[in-house]
This record gives sequence, C-alpha cells and structure tokens, in this order.
Amino acid sequence: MTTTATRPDTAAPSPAPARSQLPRRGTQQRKDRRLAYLLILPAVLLELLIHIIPMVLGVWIAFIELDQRSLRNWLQAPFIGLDNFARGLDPTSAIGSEFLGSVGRTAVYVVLTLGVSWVLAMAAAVFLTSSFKGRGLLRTLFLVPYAIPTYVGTLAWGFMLNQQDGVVNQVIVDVLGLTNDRPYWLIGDNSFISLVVVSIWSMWPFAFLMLLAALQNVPTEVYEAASLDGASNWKQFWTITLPMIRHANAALVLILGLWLFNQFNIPYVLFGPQSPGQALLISPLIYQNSFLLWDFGAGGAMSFLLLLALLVVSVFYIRLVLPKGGELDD
Amino acid sequence: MTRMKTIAGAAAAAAVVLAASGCSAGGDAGAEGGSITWWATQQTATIGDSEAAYQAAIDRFSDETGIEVEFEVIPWADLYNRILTAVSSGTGPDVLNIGTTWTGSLHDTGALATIEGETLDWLGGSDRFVPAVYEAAQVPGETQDAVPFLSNVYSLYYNPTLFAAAGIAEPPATWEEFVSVGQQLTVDTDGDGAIDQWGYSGAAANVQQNAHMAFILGQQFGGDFVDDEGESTLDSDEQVEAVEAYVGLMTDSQIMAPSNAEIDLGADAVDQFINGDAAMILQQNPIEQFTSRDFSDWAIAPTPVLADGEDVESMIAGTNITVLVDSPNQEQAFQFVEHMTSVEEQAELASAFGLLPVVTDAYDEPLLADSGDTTLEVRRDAQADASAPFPLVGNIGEIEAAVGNAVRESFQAYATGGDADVAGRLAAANGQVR
Repeated sequence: MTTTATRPDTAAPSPAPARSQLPRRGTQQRKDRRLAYLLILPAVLLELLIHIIPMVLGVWIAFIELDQRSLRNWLQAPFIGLDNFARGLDPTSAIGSEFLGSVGRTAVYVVLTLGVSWVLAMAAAVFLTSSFKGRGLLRTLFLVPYAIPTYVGTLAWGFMLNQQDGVVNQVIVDVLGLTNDRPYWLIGDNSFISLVVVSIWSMWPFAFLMLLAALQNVPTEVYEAASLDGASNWKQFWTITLPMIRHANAALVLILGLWLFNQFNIPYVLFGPQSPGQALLISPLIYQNSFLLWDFGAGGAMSFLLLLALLVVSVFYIRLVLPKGGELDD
Repeated sequence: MTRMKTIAGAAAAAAVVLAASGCSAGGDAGAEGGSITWWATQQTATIGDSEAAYQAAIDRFSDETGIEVEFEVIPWADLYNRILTAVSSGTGPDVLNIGTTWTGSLHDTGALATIEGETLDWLGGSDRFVPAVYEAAQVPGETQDAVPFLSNVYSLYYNPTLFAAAGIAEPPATWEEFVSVGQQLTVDTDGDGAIDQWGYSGAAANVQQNAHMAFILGQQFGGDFVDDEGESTLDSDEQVEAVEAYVGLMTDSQIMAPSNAEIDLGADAVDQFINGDAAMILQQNPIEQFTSRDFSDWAIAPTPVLADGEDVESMIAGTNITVLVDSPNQEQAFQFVEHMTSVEEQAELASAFGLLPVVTDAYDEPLLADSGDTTLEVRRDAQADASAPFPLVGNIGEIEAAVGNAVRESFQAYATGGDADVAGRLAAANGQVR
C-alpha cells in the first residue's frame, strides 16, 4: 500500500502514459495526487481499524499486566516491561517450558504437513496435466476437501477418530483385526498424527489448485523439445517443470507455511478448547493462556514473539526466494 | 505513551461503535416506561427451552411493572468470555447471570454493582435466602455484588435394576462403599472378554467436572484449592490424595472405562448411564436428559463421602444474578432482580429447570411441595447442609482451569498407556497459577 501512496500516478486514472503528453502543470499534478489519496483513504482507514490497530494493541498487551483485575480499566493496567516475556521464555517455568515445547512441535508440524501436502499436490497436478478420460472428474474430486468448510470437515474427522465407535477404529480393529486394543486417536501420542493427517487432508487441495494453475503456464513445446533430445520424464520434471513454476511454488510454500504456523481451527475443532499436550501448537496455546487461564499478558507476549518470528522468516524468505520486481515478467 | 493512548482510545471508540451496531444486547438507554437487557444462563439442553421458561417469568414481570426485558440465553461455554468482553468494552447488559464459581473472579473486575444497605433491604434482606447459598455469592469481607439466582448440587444417580441384578440393596453412602459397589457392578455381561458395564461413568476430559470432583473430594480429605492467604494449594497432600482417589476410579479400582478419558461432554457420560453402560454417575442435573430419553430406571442418593472425612457432597453450584455497575437503568434492573428472586418466581423457575430455589420459602410453594419430585429432599439437604462454596478468590477461574486440566491429563496419560502421575501434574498446575 505504501508503494501505491508514493506513486500516485499509477493509481490515478490517466488515459495515456504521462511521458507522451506535454509536461504537466503543478496544479494538475496536485489534483491527481489528491484524488489518489482520496481513493485509497477508505482502504487505509479500514486497514488501520482491522489490522494495524489491533496488532499494535496486541503488542501493547504483551508489556502490561492484564488480567481480570485490570481488564475493566485496561488502559491503566500496570506496565511491567519484559516480565511477560521473561515468564514465557523461562524454560524452567511451567508456562515457559510449555511455550518452547510448542514452538518446536509447531515447527515439526509445519514441515511435515507442508512437505506431504506439497508432494501430494505436485504429483496430482503433474498427473492431471496430461490429458486422459475422467480427468475433469478427478480434478473436482481432489478439490472437495477445499470446498468443505474446515469446521464441518474437521468435525467429521473428530467423529471418525473417536476411540469407542469411530469408523477408523472399526476398520482397524473390527474389520481388519490389526490390533485388539482400540487405539486412541484424539488423546495421547497419536493425537499429533491425527492433527497432521487432518491438516494435510484440508490443506493439500489448495496446493494442488495453485500448482495446477502454474503448470498450465508451462509451454508444451519445451517438453516436446526435451523429449526429442531424449530427456526422461523424471529429468524433464527436475529441469523444466520445477524451474518454470518456481515463482508460483515459492509463493505457495510461503502462504502455506504461514497458515500452518498459525493453525488454530483444526486443533480447536478436533480436540476442543484444550489440545492434548502432545499436539499442542502455538496458536491454541496462546488461546489457552489468554482465554482459559486469563493470563492475557503471557498470551500477548507469546503472540508478539510469534508475530516477530514469522515476520523475520517471511522477510528473509521473500528476499531470498521470491522473484524481484523485474523477474516477474518471464 | 500519549500516542499509544490516542491509538488505544481510537480503537476503544471503534470497538464501541462496532459493538453498538452489531450487538442487540448493547441496550437502549432507559426509555420512558423502562426497558432493560439481561444475559441469562442456559439451563436446558436447548436454548429454546430456556427461553420459553424465562419468557414466562419476564411476561409476569412486565405485566407487573411495565418494564420491558430484552434477554439473550447464552451457553455456559461462551458466557465467561462474553462477560469479559462486556467488562473490557463497558458495553454489557443491565442484568447478568454468572456462574456461582466465578463469584471471586468477577468481583475482582469491579464491574458489578454493589448490593448492600438499602438495595439489599429492598431485595428483601439476606435472611430469606438459603444461608449456605447466600454466603457463596459474596467474597468474605468484601462488598456484596451478586445474589443467588438458581442453585444446583452434585448427587449420586444410580440404576436400581443393575443394582438388584448384582444383589446390592442400598446405594453406597461412603466413598469406600462407592468403590466396592462399583467393582461389583463392573462386569462383562455378554462373556466376550471385554467389560461392557462399568460401575461409574464421568466426563474425564471435561475440565470443569474434573475440577468440581477435585474440589468436592479435596474438601472431604480436608484439603482446599487455596490456603487462608489465598495462595493456591493444588499440590497439598490432601488435594493429591483426593485427586488420586478420583483418578483411581479408572487407574486403581478400575470401575471407570479408560475410554472415558476422551469424553468431554457431561451429557455423554449421562448417555452411557442411560444406555446401561454404567451403573452410577455423579452429576448436577441429568434429570432433563433422562426425561427426554424416556429413561426412568434411575434413583438418587447423596454423593458418597469419605468414611472419616468432611461431609461435603457438593460445591455450591448454579447461578447468581447481578447488575452491572455501568448500567444506566439501575433501578429497573434491581426491580427485575427482586422479581426473579421472589418466592413465586423461584418456585416457577426451579420447577421448570429442575433446579433448586435459592429462597427458603419457595420450597413451601405448592408447585415444589406438591410436585412429587423425589429428588428434591436429597438435593435440598445437600444444598443446605453438605455444600461448600468454591474458593472465593480472584483467580479462581484460573485455578479451576489448571486443576481440571491436570486431572484430565492424568486420566488421558493412563488411558494411552502412560503414567497418571497425579502428584506431578498437580504440582505443575499449581506452578501455573499466579
């Protein structure tokens, strides 16, 4: 948005490129600029209201002692500097060890879910780029999880994974007879596996859709030429497909990574307000601290650290991996 | 700092605008004739049933006083967060129901209007309330800001048919009997090698119920959640013993199915009882669920108490009613509180919801006295003589969440093949409480 603001001529509806006209007078330029500012004003105001101000307040909360005592006059809540952070980061305290543990767990969760989703999506996208009978049907089928609201899909998974009468255990124990004890899927160690599986189920169609769109842009002549030169399919994939969709790919990984790192809906619906310890991700932990233990300060400090970490990672990622302005044209 | 305040002020103003435009409970400033808003607790399985019962009471109030009442029935799971939002934004209803166990926390917010002196006299004084329930609505030594509304207690519900089949004549009176009777009732009825009828069923993943059981048993063992200075004592020897006794139903005497570790709704435990999968439950008010499932094979007895322990069968459960200090309609609001705690309305509401009245004389109303409700006597005795108030401290909400979660984790660790480690988890929970 700031770029738009500093280059008002791109936002103003000028009928022809400015260069081809006579040098404009200052008043006209000022008018244009005013119009541009006017046009973006609603967006700026809403952005402030919906994003910036709540974010600033969230940061502020991390530095004050906010609980039910100070909530009513929260502007006067005592400023305690870095105390919330000290508590949240102290690995010997209950809160700190839980926070640090959940950071590591969330990282593993992101890598696993993102990795598997990407491989599935890539395979399906490459497969569906070649034309064959029933392709349209498969394409629709693959997108079904994406069309189902997360809450509905996750609730259904919750029923399926129920230890006593869920369909998963019926298949494993009653039909296949793989084990005599009905395993628990929603509590204990398995809960993490369940969380990853449900997340992949709901995430991979989006990756599939993005990759499929990117693959449509790769010209078929390149593959034809490569085939003539005797390149195998595998080699074509590595030397043509991947490099040619790398920009879409990079953006996709960034978006999915950020989504997954902030994952809240799936654990909340699957496990309820309190995730089992083995599947406790950062966002649900922040929720637990803020709204179940009413320790808004600790919740705020954790949110702030999460925001900071994601910001740093994103900035480096965008610098290193995403294409610079000019490169986008290829 | 000043800039931050300006931004914060702008945000608060924006929040108020949003709240006023998006939320009907924001309330009109008292129009002539009067109109108030009320957030009511959900007392039945569906919101609609609660609304119908409240509406009847409100109609009687409006006819009497000409004051209109706009009300919203809020599920228990959402109520505390709604209240906190109301407290922080200053835009709440005029009258509010709160859980009895939140008395300490909400007193600390300073958002509730003080009820004392003239106001209290005008409400009919404190003597007309059931003393134990009235005491639980006030933090000792602090100003009073709520009065009881409807009351509830934990009792033992058991299946007489299953008891007879096992040759048991009487419901257990002590905790020790409860455990041994439970073992007799835990059987493999169809001989397939798997137990399909358990002695007891409970929602072991439900934080609140776990905390309640930890409190009730803790009191019996002579423990408490906090000491005299208000410091949390979740890991005291007595509390650890008490929670070990409760978790022991699954881990030790094994009268509770390990799969209960996944149950987070009290209603699911009641369902197991109705289905005959369990012979006993400890619950506050499962009767409505019994009725809706046409289930009549149940009887009630007091919560079993440790043979040589304190006679605490329940905490003071239920709802208090209070007026927000920011309400511009204080007079009408307190008129409404008076109406809802009147003898007649108490009998009506208690009867409609299967709850206990908080006003002593309401028990003599024909609606209750002649109702033929066999549970009333048992529950009234528990309410009057064998209930203890949940600790009346500011961080009780946090304590409840911490201890309830520790109990849940113990159950779940055992069910998934780990170590219940009650003492360790309670110590960790105690460390979480500020």
